[in-house]
Amino acid sequence: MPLLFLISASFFWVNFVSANNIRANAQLLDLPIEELMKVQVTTASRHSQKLAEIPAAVFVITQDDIRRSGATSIPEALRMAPGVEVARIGTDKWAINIRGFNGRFADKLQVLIDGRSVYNPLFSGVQWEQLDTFMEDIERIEVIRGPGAALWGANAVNGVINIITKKARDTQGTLFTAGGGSFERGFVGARHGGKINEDTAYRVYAKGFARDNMEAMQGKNANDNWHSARGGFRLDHQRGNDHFTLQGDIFYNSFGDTLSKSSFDITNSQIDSARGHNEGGNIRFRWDRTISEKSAIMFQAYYDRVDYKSLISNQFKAESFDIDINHRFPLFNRHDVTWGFNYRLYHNKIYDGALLSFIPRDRINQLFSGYIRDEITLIPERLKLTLGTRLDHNDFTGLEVQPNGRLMWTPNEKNSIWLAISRAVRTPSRAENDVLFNYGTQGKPPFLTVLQLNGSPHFNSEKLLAYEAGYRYQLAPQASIDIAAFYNDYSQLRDLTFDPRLGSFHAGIPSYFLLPIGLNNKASGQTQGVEVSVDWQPHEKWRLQGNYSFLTMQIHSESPFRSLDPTTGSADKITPQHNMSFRSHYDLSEKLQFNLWMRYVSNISFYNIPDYVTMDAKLIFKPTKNVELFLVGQNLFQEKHKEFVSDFIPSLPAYIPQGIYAGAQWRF
Amino acid sequence: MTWFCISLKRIFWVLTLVANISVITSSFASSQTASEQTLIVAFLYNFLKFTEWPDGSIKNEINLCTDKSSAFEELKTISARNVQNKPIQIKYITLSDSPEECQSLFLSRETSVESIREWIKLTQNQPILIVSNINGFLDMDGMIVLINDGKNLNFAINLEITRNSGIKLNAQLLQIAREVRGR
Repeated sequence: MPLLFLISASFFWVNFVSANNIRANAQLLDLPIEELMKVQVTTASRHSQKLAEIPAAVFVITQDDIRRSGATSIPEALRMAPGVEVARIGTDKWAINIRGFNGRFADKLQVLIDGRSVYNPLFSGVQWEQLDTFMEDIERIEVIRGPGAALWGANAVNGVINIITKKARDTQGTLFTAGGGSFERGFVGARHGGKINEDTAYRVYAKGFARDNMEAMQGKNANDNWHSARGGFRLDHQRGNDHFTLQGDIFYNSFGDTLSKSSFDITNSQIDSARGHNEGGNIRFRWDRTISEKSAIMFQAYYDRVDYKSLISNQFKAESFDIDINHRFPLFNRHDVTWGFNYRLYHNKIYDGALLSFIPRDRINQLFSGYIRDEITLIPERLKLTLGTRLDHNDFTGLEVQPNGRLMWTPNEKNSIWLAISRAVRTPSRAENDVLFNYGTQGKPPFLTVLQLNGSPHFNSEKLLAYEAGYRYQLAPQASIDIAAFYNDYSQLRDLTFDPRLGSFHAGIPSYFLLPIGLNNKASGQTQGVEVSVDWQPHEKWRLQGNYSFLTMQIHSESPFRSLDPTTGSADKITPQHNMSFRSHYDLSEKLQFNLWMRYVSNISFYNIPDYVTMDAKLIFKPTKNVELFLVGQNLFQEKHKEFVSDFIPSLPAYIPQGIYAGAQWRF
Repeated sequence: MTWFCISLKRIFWVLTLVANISVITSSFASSQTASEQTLIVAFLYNFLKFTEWPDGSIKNEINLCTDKSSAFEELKTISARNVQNKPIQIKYITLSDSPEECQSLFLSRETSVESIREWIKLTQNQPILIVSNINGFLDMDGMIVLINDGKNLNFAINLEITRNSGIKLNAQLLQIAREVRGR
């Protein structure tokens, strides 16, 4: 209803609002220059909107933030953003989500790097260890909390993370970086950027690192040390109004895992650890044509593949191909329209393993979508209404409609208020359709029961209706505050069910009862929360940044497995209510920078993880213009702490250790 | 927590209402506004009016050049307009083109810092009025910088550099500039 009201209101008022804007250039050109200086400036930038003008909860992590934080990976850098829950499970494993429902396969968060989705359609979620780039090449990370489905497509339910790397012309010259320490055993990286001609710039990079094992329960070694090598290139060519980009990466990861085998393998209850590796690559082409300030066409295509092999969990090959076309144009002065098409093809093959198997093993899935968004200026510079929708067609649930409406009110340049209502869906993964998965065991012989999770073709999408509001206030040129609140109403959430008639007894040593667990969409839930972010620069050499997020959840589930299921049934018990981050960036002199970063996360009752406070510190010394030396301490407040436990795959819970590393960077 | 949801929805409604009321009121308030791009063009047009080039450096047209990569389309709106009795001609050029025939060069902040530096080096001591809206342009030895203070657009001049190039700026420009360096 509110949406309808907004639509009718907008059409009504469009006719009434008189055009104060001087559109005719002639009029401006006749003004004496003194008068020109009194004309108010609108739309500051042609490509990117100012943060204060976006009707959504957005937080931007800049290259400078990353450099000063000492974060060595993208997941660790995400801890800087409000409302994002980053919990490390092991050296190469993270659970990351926005606004609740966290997990190793957190499925309600869309993640893109330079417009390439890294959301895994096999298991739903992001395999964070595969997401990396040369950290110095990242221009910014945009963290959008709340549904972004109307623009970014299905699975952008709780948020979208957009990693954007620099253009090749902004990474000219050579950069070497190397270092090492306790947990960060060693890292080395090099990048070189140059120009083929005046219109064509390129860069190439290569990096590698080794990260240590973590300690598991009872002093055991989790055997999860991680070695990685990665290389890539980017080529940018400008021809008049056309911009072409060709970009690609290849990577290799070697990792380890220790599984608590008792939970899935009834014949052998000892702990088992093994190593695995994955390798992959991607290539992306993008063409942008700028027609005018408000009009542009974009075409993008990419191909991405990964081969994953872990001796004890699983082995799969996955590839995806994607085409995206986007057109933006102004309409009747007050409308800024963006529309586009997207086609994606997934092909994957899973080999049977001790933990899981897929039927069929090999499958191709396709996704078609179209979207349209209209940004309507109701009052120039004061009030904007954005209406948009996306239509997705996927192989599992067919057509999905994901509309949203956003209102941005800027009463003056210091204050802005926005409101949004959106619908988003999380579409079923291939696993939810096709998997046979040994979920866990209950009881002891002779009453041993093995729970086997069975995918179902009848499993439907999870739905969200989200109500959001936000307020931004620029207190002074050096201080600003950003507040966002939301009420998320989830329906048809994934829940676990069972049919005792389908159970079967398996005689043997030991004998056990096999109980198939099915999936249904009978759970529902609500989440509410507030996120506050404050930025203050007391003087030009000192910047303070603080965030606080609060979140509560209610889950409604009738499932007999509710207390065993951290992903839905007990999702309210795996969510820390309070998250805090506080950063101080201080320039002691032109050559010396000192940065502190303190974090607090409240307890997770489901896993009995207590709350923790910890701190990172980074000292940067620049003896000359080209050289930078740094010393970083991580998780300084305690020797070790626990952040999360792996769900689905029973990796032994590990402790996050204290760490220290030092290094140098040389540019020429 | 239902209070939270109810109050959020209520706030939502009230704000929608307020927003609609403000549509009516603010449509009567008048103040002149324009996009930064169109304003920049109007400023450039004025600069061309108030600049004196050395004798013989202008042929049939006054050439206003800009870096091709930034695609500053709005410039075309002053193409063929007369200043100092000569028509303005807009030229989109790259660093490999010779800038000698330009009377003025505009470098928008979408042009990379590195190429702006190269442009400045390339046009050093030539009678080309070089203008940009990038921060710190005067520190890079640029001539006129356009400053968007969030509300209005104004400008600052590096007089020493301008003088060295053989260009004379009208006293009126110097008077109303926000800052004049090397006076």
